[in-house]
Amino acid sequence: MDFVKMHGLGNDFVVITGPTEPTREDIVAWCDRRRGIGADGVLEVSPLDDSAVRMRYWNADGSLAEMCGNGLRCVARYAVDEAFVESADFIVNTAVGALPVHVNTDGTVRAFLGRASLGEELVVGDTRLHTVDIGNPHAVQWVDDPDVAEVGSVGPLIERAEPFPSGTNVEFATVSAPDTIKLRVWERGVGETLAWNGGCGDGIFGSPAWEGRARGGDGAARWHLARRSRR
Amino acid sequence: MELRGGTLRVDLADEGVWIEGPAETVFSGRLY
Repeated sequence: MDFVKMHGLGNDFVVITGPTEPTREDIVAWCDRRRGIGADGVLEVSPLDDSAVRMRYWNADGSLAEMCGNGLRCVARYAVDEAFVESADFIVNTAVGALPVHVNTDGTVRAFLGRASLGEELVVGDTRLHTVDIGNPHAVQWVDDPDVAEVGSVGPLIERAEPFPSGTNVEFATVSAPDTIKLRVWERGVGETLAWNGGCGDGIFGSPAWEGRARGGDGAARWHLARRSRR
Repeated sequence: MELRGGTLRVDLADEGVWIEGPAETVFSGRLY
């Protein structure tokens, strides 16, 4: 079976053409960074018609995940590169719905994630968390400096904490500028990754905590960012 | 949004959230 190794912001994937039925052992072996290709997960891209493909995503531990934003962009780029679709604008069918994407001429990808569903605020141990769901679960901790956050020790504890029976992605974030959030990601089923796992940023930007913090420094920050990035 | 792997643009549109960022191919091969 042919594969392509791809990444989005350092969140890396083994990408294969579907439909296939990889076993959990296959996924773990392919993602092994010493004995396999090495990746945070496996993306399967199945052509559907000239304007749609299907995406499935497995974490490196072999678990099937609902969604991955970096993966979604890689799926879109792969579908264009493999000529599965006729246009740069098309639909990716995912476990959380049909998501429109656009592959820019420079190869970057604009992708729709949907709406974030804000959950309750929780305290796990000494950690206060804001929960968000955008097809997959996220728990955001606001910290002063993500660079010194105890991602490797706190991340796995929160990932498997009692309030998250299916596990959760964990983000350690701060507002670093009026229009910028800086964060580190502990990805469910993977560990710390160089980038997010789809939706966590959405959750951060949509959360009351973000609005409160941003408005503490710049009342227009949230909308300033949206306006600047809109096309 | 600043991440260890780079910067991701986030657009808070009325209909939901859009992201824009890189998707890059590193290499290809065959699984055995």
